[in-house]
Amino acid sequence: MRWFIAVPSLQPLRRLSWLLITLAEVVWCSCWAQPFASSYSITWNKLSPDKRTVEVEASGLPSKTLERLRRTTPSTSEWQQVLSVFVEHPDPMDELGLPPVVGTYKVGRASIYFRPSYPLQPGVVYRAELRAPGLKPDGVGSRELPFCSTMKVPRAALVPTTMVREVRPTSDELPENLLKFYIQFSGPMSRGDIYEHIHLRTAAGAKVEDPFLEIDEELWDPSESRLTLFIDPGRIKRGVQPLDEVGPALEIGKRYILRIDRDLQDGSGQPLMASFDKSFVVGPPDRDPPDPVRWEVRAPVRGTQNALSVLFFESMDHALASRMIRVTDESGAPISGRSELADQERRWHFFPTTRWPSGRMKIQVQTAIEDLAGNNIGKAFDVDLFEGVQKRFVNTTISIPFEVR
Amino acid sequence: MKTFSRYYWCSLASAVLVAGSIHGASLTEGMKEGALALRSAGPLAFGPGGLLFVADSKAAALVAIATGDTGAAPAKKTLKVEGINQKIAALLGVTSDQILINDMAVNPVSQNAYLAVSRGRGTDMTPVLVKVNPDGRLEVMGLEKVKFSRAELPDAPVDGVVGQGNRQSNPRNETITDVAFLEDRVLVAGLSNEEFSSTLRAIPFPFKNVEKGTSVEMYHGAHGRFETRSPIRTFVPFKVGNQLQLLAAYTCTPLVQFPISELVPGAKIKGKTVAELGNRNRPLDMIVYQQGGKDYLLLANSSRGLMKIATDQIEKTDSISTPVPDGGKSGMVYETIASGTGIEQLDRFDGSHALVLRRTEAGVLSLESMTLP
Repeated sequence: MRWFIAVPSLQPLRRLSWLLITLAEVVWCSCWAQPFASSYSITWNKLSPDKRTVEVEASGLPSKTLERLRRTTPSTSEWQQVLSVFVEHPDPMDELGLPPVVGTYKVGRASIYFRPSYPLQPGVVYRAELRAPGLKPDGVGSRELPFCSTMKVPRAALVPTTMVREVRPTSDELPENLLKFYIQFSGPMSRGDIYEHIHLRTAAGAKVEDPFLEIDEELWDPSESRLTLFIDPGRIKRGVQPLDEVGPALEIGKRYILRIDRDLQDGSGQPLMASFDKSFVVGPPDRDPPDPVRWEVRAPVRGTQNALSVLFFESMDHALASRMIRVTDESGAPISGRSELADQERRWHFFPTTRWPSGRMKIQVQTAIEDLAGNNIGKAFDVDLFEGVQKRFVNTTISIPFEVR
Repeated sequence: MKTFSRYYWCSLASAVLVAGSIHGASLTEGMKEGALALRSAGPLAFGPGGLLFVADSKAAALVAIATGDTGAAPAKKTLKVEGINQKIAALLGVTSDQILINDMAVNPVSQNAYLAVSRGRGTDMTPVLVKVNPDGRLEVMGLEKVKFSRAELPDAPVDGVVGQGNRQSNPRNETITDVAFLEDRVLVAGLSNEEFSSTLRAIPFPFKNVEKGTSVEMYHGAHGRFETRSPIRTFVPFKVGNQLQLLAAYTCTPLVQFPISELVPGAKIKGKTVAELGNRNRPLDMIVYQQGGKDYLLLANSSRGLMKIATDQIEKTDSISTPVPDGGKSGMVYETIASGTGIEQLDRFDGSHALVLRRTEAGVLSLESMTLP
C-alpha cells in the first residue's frame, strides 16, 4: 500500500476523462496519476441521496481477470488483491498496517463492484485501489502499480441546532447529599465522552475533581436526549473514608456551577448552540426519607378536569415522581390522565383525560420514589449499621386516599 | 468479558450431563436462523460450543448466537494487535474517534477474540461484532444469516401516567453492565438511568422466560453502611469448595461474594463484602483461572495494576462489617500486578495467558495476550 509515498501527489492528471465522477468530489489520486495503457476507471456510484452509501465500480480489467473472478468464488482477501478501498490519512505513515474497508464484491459484464458495508463518513477521504496483472502507468518502468481514485463526502456545514433545555433538579438550592442530575437536551446526543465536557466548578471557577460516578456506558434515555449524572456516592456519604480523603463533592453554603460545554456533540456530530450553566447553592443534607403522611393532597371538584395535586414540601426526583405515582378508583382501576411536576418538583399535578366523577379514589405511590438525596419512602439512602437503623427496604406501593366531591 | 474457566466448564459439563439440564444438542434449542438486528452491542460472554451472548441494552434484550466458531485453537500462544481501535476504524471505514469498544470476550474453544463495537457515536451509531483471529486478522461478524435466540428483559415498572403520553416514551432505560453464562442460565447485571439500584437477573438458557431480577443487598465496608442499591460493575462466577459463588465488583469498589444458589427470582440476598478496593478506583473486569492447582481471580481496575486474589482467601475472609480505615482498602489479601495498568478489558486467552485490551499512556489501544500472573 505504500506505492504512493514514492509518487508526488501533484502529478499532472493528464487523462482525467476516464474518471467518471458521479458523486462528491474527487480529491487526488494518491497511488498514481499518470495515464495508463488501457482505459481503467473507478467510479463512485451514489446509492443514497446523502451520498454516503456508495458502490465502487472498477472497469478496464483484462477479460481473463474478469473471467477468473466469475468462475471462482474469490475469498475476501482475493477480492481485496484486485480492488480495495481505504480510509486515507493525511500522513500516509498512519495508514501502515491498516486493513481495507469491509464490504461485499461482485463481478459484472465488464466491471467489478465493491459496496462498503457501512455508509461513508462525511469529511473522510476514501481511496479505491485497483490492481491487475501488468497494470502500470505508461512509460514508467515495469513495476505494477495500483490504479487509484479518491473521493470525499462533503461534511455538513456547522449549524448547531441542539441545546440544553433543562437541568433537573430545577431548584437553585440543592442538598449537600444530592444524588443525581438529569440533563435534558432538545434533541438526541452523541455518546462516548460526556465526562470530558460536563464539569462541576465552584463559584470561583475551581474545578471539583471527579464529582461524578463515571459510567462508561453513559446513562441516556432511549431517545438519547436525557442524560443521568450520578454524583459519586463515595463523595456524598457522611463519615466515610473517601470523604475524609478527598472531601465531599458539594459543601454546604457554597455555590457551584454545573457546566455543559458547547463542545459536547449532538447526535449528528454538531456542537451545542451554547454552553449551559446550572448555578446552585448547597443546602443542608437531607437524610429523612420522604413521608407521605406529611404530604398534602388537594382533591379536585367533580365534573371538572382540574388538577389533583400532591404537595411534597420538598423537591422530589423528577424522573421517579413522574413514573411512580398513579391514580386509581377505589377498586384499584387506573384513571387515565397526564401528570406534571411543578414548583421545583415540590408539587405533583394530575389532569384526568375525562371529567372527575365524584367518589373515593386513591393515589398509588411506589415506595421506590426518591427525594433529591436518593432517600425512598421508609428508607434513607444511607442506613448506618452502627446507628442501629437496620430497616429493610421492601419495594412496594402505598395508597393515599382522597375523595372527589 | 466473561469466560468461565475451562476447568469449570469441564466439571460443569459432567454435572450437567448427569443432570441432563443442558447439553450440546440443546444449546441451539429454540434458535432460529436469519438476520439478526442488534440495536446496540454491549457486554459479551461465551458459553460452551461457540455460543456467544451479546447484551443489547438499547433493545433491552440478551441475544444468544450460535457462532459455529468451534474449530480448535492454534498452537500459537501470543497475540498482539497494536492500535486495535485504529484498525477497527479502518475496517469499518471511519476515523478512530468514531469507534467505541464496549467489551471483549475470547471464545475458549477457538481463541478467537470478539469485540463489541459501536461504529459512530450519534444517531447513526451502528453496533458491530468484530472477530480477531489468533493471528491478529480482523473480521466483521456477519449477522445477515446466523442462528440466534433472544430474551427480552422485563419492562420498567409502570408509569405514573396511565393510558396515554409517557407510556410510549418511557425515559427509563436499563443498561446491562455485565453478563456471564453459567451452567444452564445467563447472569445479567443491570443499571437503571433513574434508580440507583442493582439488578441481577438469572435467565434460564435456552431462553424461555425472563424472571424478575434478583435484588441484591450488600454491606459496603468503606462506607460503613448497608448499601442496597449500588450498581454492579462487573462480576465473575467461581467455586469455593464445591459451592458455586459469584464475586461482584460494585461501582463504589467493594468486592462482594454471593452464593449462586441464593440467586432466585425476586429474592433479596445479602452478600459478603470481602474486599474494598479503595477510593477513586473503578472495577473494570474480572476473570478466574487456575495456577499450580489453585484458583485465582484477576481484577482490572482504573487506578492500580491488576489485582490477583486467591479464591481460598475469599473463603477465609470474614465479611467487612466495620468502617474501613486508612485509605479505604480492606478485606482479603491480594497481590497487585504493577505491570497490569491501563487494562480496560480482560478475558482468559488460554491456560497460561489472559487477553487484555490495554490503553497506553500515549492513548494507543492494543489487544494483547499476557502471561497470567
